[in-house]
Amino acid sequence: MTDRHHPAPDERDAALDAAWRAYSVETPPPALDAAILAAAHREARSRPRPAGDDDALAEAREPSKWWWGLAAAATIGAIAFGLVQIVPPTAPTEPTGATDMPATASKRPAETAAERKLEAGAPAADAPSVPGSTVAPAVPKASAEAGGAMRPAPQDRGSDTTPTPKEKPTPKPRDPASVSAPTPKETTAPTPKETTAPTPKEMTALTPKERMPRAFPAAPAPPAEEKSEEGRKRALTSESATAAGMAGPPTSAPAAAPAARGAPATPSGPASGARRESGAARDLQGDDGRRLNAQAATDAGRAEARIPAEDYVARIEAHLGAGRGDDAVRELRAFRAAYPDADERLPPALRPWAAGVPRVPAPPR
Amino acid sequence: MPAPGPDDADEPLMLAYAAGRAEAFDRLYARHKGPVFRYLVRHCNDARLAEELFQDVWTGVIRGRARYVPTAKFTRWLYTLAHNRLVDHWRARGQLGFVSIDDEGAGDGRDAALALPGARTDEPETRTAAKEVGARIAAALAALPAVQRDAFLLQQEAGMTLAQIAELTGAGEETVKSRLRYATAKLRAALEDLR
Repeated sequence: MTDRHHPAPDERDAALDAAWRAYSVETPPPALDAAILAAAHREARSRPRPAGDDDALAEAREPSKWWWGLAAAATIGAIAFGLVQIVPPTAPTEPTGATDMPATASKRPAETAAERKLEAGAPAADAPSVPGSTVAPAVPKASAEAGGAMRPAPQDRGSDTTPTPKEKPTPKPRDPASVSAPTPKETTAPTPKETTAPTPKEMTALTPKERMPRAFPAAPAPPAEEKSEEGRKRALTSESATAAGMAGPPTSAPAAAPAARGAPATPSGPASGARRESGAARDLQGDDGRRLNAQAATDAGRAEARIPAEDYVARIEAHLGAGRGDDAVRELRAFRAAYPDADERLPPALRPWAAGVPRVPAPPR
Repeated sequence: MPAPGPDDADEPLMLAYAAGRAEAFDRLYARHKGPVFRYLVRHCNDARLAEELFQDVWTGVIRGRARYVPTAKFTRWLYTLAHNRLVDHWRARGQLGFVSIDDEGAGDGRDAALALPGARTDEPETRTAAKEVGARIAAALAALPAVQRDAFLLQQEAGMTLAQIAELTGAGEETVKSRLRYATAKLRAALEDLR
């Protein structure tokens, strides 16, 4: 044994020490030696460090940060969504939902402008005391030429029975009663045929009182066009018939005036039309109304074809009897405009006077 | 710190191991493993238990390397760990450990020593060892009182002086001297017929 120590010799017995050295030779088993040495080496490699330097412990104590990125992304997304909701859209977008407006409103500014003009003209049409105001404002030139341009505007023809591709398909003609009193639900602009004046057959079925209000409202285009065509034919025939006895040029212009005015045939709406109808009916009560109507018809030269010839004759006689020669002449011209054979319909007593009234020259075509 | 040499004292080796040099521990362990193991075996008289206590002692050395302060000899610190481990073991088993049996009042000290673990002469291995010198010595040692045996073992195995043994055991030097005298006398008497 190399680790044998030998303390002070006092209290020691040499024989005992030698016997002890020979006896006490045990050592720990090799397995235990290896285990202890391995533990010692393991501990030597992992030297004890101060608690403050323990990086692993510090990392373990740190809060988890894996969710920081996710939280940041969610916050940014929420802010972006809020901004999108708050900021108003800069560019108008095409409406995607169902609407009562025409789908092509935004694509046809010209039509929209025309509709706006019609809408603006609607309140003026409500004024029944001003007959000229009932003229549809869509064709101001036609109203300016109230004297007598018989020339139908191109759009008048377009607004005839065959609608242009831009126009909505027109419904079939309805009962006249439904035209005079449209329901409030009819919010869409009525097509020309909805306000179409009754055909001559219908006119004959109507009483004179029924005819009066119907003649006064804004004359729809297609029937007026038809009427104008008929009047033109009549005028031509009368011209040919009375060309020899007439001093002035053939007066077919007044007959064309209603057609020209009615040609726009763009009613400003059923509601306004109904108001117009009722206002006209109010004004046409009595003689004053008739006079006003006659004057309006003379001035505007529209829809007078509906007035019976007897009424014209009675008015002319009344004017002449009252000494209002100018009014009588005006009435005669309206009569001529409405009836190409007006002079023939006059009583014999008035024919010499009527022969002295020159006809309005027809406008050049 | 330079590499530990074969003749280095224990204290520098322990400091070197505390600094992380495992080879220093190897030298310390090779130098003290036998005496410590025999110290434990002679006290326990049970090789398996001695191995368990031996491992605990060296584990204490390894874990306590950072607390080691070279104010005293390394052997004193090492055997203090072993002594305390034995005391803990005996206390855990409810056995009287290092009873204070003074040699001067030794009337019934013999009986007390025989009651200690390892003093039982009727053990088979003891009887077998008794056939030889070593067996006689072992039997005589086992028959010694624990304090006398502890003093004798600390003197023989650890090479401690009376003062060191007195300091480690907490007894006076005279007491330790008396314990050694009694222990030597008994062992000498056990080997008397062999001479």
